[in-house]
Amino acid sequence: MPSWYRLPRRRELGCVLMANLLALIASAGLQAWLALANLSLVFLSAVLACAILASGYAAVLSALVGFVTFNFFFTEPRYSLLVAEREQLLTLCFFLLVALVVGRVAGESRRRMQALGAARLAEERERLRSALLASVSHDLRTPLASIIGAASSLRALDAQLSPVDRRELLDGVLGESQRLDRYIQNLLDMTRLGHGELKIERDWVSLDDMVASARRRLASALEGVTLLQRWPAGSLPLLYVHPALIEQALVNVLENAARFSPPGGTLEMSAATDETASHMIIALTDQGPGIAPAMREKVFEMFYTGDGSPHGSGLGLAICKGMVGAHGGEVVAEAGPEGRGTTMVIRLPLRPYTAPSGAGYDA
Amino acid sequence: MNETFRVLVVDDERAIRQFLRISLGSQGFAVSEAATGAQAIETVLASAGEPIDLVLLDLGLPDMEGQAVLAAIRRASDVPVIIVSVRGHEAEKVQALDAGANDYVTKPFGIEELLARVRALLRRPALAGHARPYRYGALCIEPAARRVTLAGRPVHLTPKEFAVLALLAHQAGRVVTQTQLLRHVWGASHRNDTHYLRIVVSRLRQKLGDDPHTPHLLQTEPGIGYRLHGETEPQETLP
Repeated sequence: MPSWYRLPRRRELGCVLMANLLALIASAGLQAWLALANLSLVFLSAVLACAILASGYAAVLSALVGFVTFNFFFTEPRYSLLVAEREQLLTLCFFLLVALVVGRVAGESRRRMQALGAARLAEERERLRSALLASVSHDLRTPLASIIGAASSLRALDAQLSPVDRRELLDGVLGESQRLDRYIQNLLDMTRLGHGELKIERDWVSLDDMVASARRRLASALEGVTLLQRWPAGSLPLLYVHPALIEQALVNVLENAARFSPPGGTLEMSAATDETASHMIIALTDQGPGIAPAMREKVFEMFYTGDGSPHGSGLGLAICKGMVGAHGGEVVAEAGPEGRGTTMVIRLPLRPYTAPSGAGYDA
Repeated sequence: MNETFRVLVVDDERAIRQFLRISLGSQGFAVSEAATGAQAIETVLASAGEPIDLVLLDLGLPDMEGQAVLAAIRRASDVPVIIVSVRGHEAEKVQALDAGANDYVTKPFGIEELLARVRALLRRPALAGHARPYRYGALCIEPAARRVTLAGRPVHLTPKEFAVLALLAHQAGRVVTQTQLLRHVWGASHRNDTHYLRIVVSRLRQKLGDDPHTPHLLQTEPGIGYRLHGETEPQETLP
């Protein structure tokens, strides 16, 4: 409960004075047409305004200020605090009574609404936090399960394993460790994106180089699918972007597409400039199950992982969107050609190439 | 037994299937793989000629609920099923065990733990039945004679204690859920009276000389149930 025995805060005082000043001006204009009792309703409105905008305390204060103002300016004799007519005195008393009650009740309901809002916010935050924890632990543990399994096999079954088996288990350990590393990188990036701490350090870079680097990092994840690049190497203009961030965005869409591809599936990547050469458009088409139209925006939300399926953390595409968005670009999910699979389309703004004179820094 | 056991690995993670294929393969198992629930059911149902002997079922599959896969398998076959699932999903595991799964391992797991579970399940042919005595160290449980001896000396058990121990011994090396124990020994109406079970288990540990702090013989699986240590066998020749 707020204390009623205190000095008004600046906001409350301002609200009370402003509301009553407005009520005074309105009443002065309306007094030719309205009876005195009705004029008091204007001041009652000021009380309500204070309850809604400031607090119950301000409403009660406004009731008292309104009572004095109304008395001073509108009851006979005017410009004094005396009241000559009994009816006017009654109006004044009723005004004060109603204003005090309304002010307190309205203030109390405002306080409750605020408390309710705070509780809902806390609940939402708690829900998000548990989603984060569940997703993080699932994604850290999935590669770890393979690493622990493969490593324990190497140790326990050593004598019974062929050199090929041993090699394959070691590759598994390496591939899954790299996946774990990518995931941790994503988590760090997400935190930075969330705090607005991501510093964009632009440089001129070719898409070919970034895709090549992404392919290297994803070697194990892309095993079992074919990735086709549908543009002649060296044919595209350079991008002026933060290379590591855009590479991460590419890694995330590629990993996502590979994960949803059927075994032996093909990923088709195309890249071109749009008609006005203002944007580069990169499209990646998979042969996966596709995304329902209603879900095409949702897939970019944090922690969205399809129908509660255990695929990934729901961070990858959200980060891709964040990275591309930080460069003034956008990512959308579309239906694949002939309605099969999904095409992820990344649009990145292009800049006319200027030979790098100094460091290409750009906050 | 020189036949080759066929194990079906159901997991959507390629890396998990890979290491299981290699490690189980190195132990002489024939390994089949399924990445989805639908594929798993199809493989179990279609393998009429060479039936699957054991299924390793991950509960988190992309296309359908693991529980639904288990139910579909159970409708057609009583092949042993080991549930593979992440920690923290105890309720899911209990549900699966009560629905007919035979055991579980928690991800991440070491290969030795998994192989021990697999052996425990494949070791006992169904026809061996109740009558087989259980031996572990100095302990011998003879269900047919309702006799339990520790280093040759008879151990006196109440009927409930004996019933719990006999059920665990029948499933030696495998987990038995609290619900299964309570339903079997006390009756369906006592399904939730887990304190009965706790008291009986602690008395059993006392009488059988098991360390109550770090039980070795009668292990508690927190949130799930109990497991009696696998038997010591004169010959470890599996598969």
